[in-house]
Amino acid sequence: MIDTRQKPQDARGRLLLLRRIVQHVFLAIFLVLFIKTDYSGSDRLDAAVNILFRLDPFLAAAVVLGVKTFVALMLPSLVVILLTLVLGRVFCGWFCPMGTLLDLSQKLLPARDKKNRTYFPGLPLFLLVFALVAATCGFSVAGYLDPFSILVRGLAQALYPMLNSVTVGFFTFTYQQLPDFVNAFTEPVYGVLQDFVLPSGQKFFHLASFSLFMLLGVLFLEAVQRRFFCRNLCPLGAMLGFVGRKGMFAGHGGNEDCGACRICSKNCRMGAIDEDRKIDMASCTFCSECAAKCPRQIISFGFSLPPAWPVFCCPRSRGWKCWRKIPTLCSSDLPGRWPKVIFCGAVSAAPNVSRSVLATPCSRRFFRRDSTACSAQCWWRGPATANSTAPSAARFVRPAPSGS
Amino acid sequence: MDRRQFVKDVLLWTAGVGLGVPCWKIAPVRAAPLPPLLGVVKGKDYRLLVEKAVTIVGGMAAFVKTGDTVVIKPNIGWDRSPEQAANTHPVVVRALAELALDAGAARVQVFDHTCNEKRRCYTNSGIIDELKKIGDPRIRWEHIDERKFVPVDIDRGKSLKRWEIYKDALAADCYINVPVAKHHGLSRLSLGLKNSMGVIGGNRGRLHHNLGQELADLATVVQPRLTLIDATRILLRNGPQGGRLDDVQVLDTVIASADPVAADAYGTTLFGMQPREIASTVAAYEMGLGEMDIDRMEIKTVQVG
Repeated sequence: MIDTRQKPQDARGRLLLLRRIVQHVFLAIFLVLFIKTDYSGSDRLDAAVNILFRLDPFLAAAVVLGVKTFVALMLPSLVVILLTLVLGRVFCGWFCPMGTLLDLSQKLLPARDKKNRTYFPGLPLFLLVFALVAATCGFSVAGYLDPFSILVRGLAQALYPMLNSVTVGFFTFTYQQLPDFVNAFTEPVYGVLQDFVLPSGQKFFHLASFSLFMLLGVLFLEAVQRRFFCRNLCPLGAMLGFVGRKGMFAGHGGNEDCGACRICSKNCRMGAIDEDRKIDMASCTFCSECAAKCPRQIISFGFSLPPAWPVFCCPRSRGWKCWRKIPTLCSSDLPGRWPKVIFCGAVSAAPNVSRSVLATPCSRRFFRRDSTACSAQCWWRGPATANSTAPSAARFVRPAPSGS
Repeated sequence: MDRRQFVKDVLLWTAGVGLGVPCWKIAPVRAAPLPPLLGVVKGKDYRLLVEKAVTIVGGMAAFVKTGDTVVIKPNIGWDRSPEQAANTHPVVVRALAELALDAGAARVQVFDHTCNEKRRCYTNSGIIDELKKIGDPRIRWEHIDERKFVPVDIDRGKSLKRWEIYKDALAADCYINVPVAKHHGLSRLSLGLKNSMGVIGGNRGRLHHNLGQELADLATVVQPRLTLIDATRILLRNGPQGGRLDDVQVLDTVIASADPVAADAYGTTLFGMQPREIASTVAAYEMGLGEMDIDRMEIKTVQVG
C-alpha cells in the first residue's frame, strides 16, 4: 500500500520550490513589463513597469511627504503594506525582482562571509528615516536608495542599450560578413529579437555609467554577504520590516534542545535568526530555507494572534509563562492548572471581557471544563483583578507540542 | 560669386583644363533628344489620377517587368497626418503599389528613412494602413535597417563624392520616387530630388551645406525610373514638417514623368515659382540629368472626374 501521507520534509521542500517558482515568475513579469514600457509606436501603454513603483510604499511615503499631497497613483502600495501585515516581509523574499536578481547572482558570486552577521543592521532604518525626512524638506534622495529605482534605472539607461548595441553589432557582422546560409539562420533570430526583446533604436543616456555602477554595485555586494543590499541598505525593506514585525505572521525557530546545530542561522540569507535561534520577523523574508534545512524539522511558520488578542498564561512558581496559542494544560512546575486568559491591549472595558472570552471558541472549551480556571484576567494598564498577579516577566514562547 | 561666375573663373585660371571634367561630356548627350513627357492629371479621385498619369507616361508596364523587384519611395518622413501635407498621400502610394503588382512585380517594397520617430511616421502618415488594405504578401513595408546602408562612390558627384545609400533602393529593378510637393525651409521646395534623401544614411544634415548640388550628385546614383509628384495637396509654408492646415492648399493634382528633373521643374510652377529658383533642379539640369525648361517638355494635362 502506498503511503500517501506527506513527509514534513517534502512539504517544506515544496514550499521552497514554490517560492523559487514565484520569484522567477515575478522576475519574468517584471522584465516583460520593462520591455513593454519601451515606446511601441502607440500613444497608449497597456502595461508598464511603473506598477512596480506604485506598489512601493517607501516611494509612496517619499512622494506624499515630498509633494505634501495625497497621491492616488501610489494607492497600490497599500496592497504591499497589507500583505506585509499578514505575511511579513514576504514581498522581499518572494516578489521583489531585485531580491530575485540578488539570489540569482549568488550562483555567480557566492558570498564570502560565512559568519552571516548583518554588518549594519540599523542602517536601512536610518536611510529610511533620512530619505523620508529629506523628502519632507524637499530634498529627493529616495530614488537613489529605492531598489526598484536602482534596478529600473540601471536596466533602462545602461544594460538595455548595451544589450541592443551588442546584439545589433553581432547581427550586423553576420549580415554583412557571413555567407547567406548563415544568414538564413541568424536573420530570423534577429527578427524575433527585434520584435520581442530589443528596443526600437539605440539610445544613449548621460547617466548611463552612473546607473550601471549603482546597479552593479548592489549586485557585486552579494559577494560580500547574501542579500547585502536588503539587509544593510534597503529602506523599503526597513519599512516592510517595521510593519511586518508587528504582523500576524511569525516564524518559530529552534530551541535549547538544538545543541550545537546552527544550520538555520548559517543559511539565513537575511541574518534573521539570532543566537537563541529566534526568528526576527523584521528581517525574515519567509524564504523558508531554514525550515527546509532544519534537521529536526522544528522550525515552522504560522499565524499567531496580533498583540491585541488574548494571551494564555500558566502560573509558574516564579511568575508566568505565556503563549499566543492555547496550550492544552499547564504542564509546567504547577501541573494540572488551566491556563488563564490574559488580555493585552485591545479590550478596554473590564465588564465585557468575560463575554469576549466566552465568545472565542477555544476558551469555551476551558469554560466547560473548569469555569473558575477560565475566569478572565483583564490587564489593561490597570491593576489586576482578584486572585491573579500581573504576568510581570511574561515571555512569549512557542507552546509545547500538544499532549505533553 | 554664383556658380556660373565660378565656372568662368575656373576656366580662365586653369586655361580651360577644367573642361576635362566628365560631367561636361554627359550634359549634351542626355539633354539633346526627345523632349521629356509629363503627365499632369487633376481630379478628385486620387487613385484615378495616379492611374491616368502613369498611363500618359507609358503605363506601368513600361517601367515594371514581370518578376521585377520594385521600390516605391514615398515621403513618410514626418509624424503627420495625410491632410497636413508633409507626407505622400496614402491613396497615391497604394495606387502605385497596386499598379506595380498588376504589372507583375515580384515584390514591392515601401520604405523611407524617417526624420521623426519611425513607427509614428509610418502609422500616422496613413500609408501603412492603406497598404495593408491591399492584402498582398508581395507588398513589403519595412522600417529602415541600418545594416543595409552601403557606402557608394559617387563618381560624377561634384560636391558629394561618397555616401551611404540604402542597398534595397540601389538593387531594385524599378525605383519609383513618390514625393509630396511641399515647401522646405532650406531648399525652398521639397520635390523628387529632395525625396531621395530618404534612402541615404549617415549624417544627413551635412548635405544641407550645399544642398542643391549634393542632391544633384545623389541623383546620379539614385535614379528613379518613374517620378510621380503628389500634389493632391501641397504645403505652402513651414515645410518640410508643416502641421498647420492653413499652410495646406488642395490642388488635386499628380505629375508623372520618367525625367526626375522635369517633374521637379513642373512641380515648382505649382507654387508660383520658376524652376531656376530651385538649386537642385538647376544643378541636376546642368549635370545633364534632365530637362528644366518647361517650354521644352511635352506636357499632357488631363482633367478626370
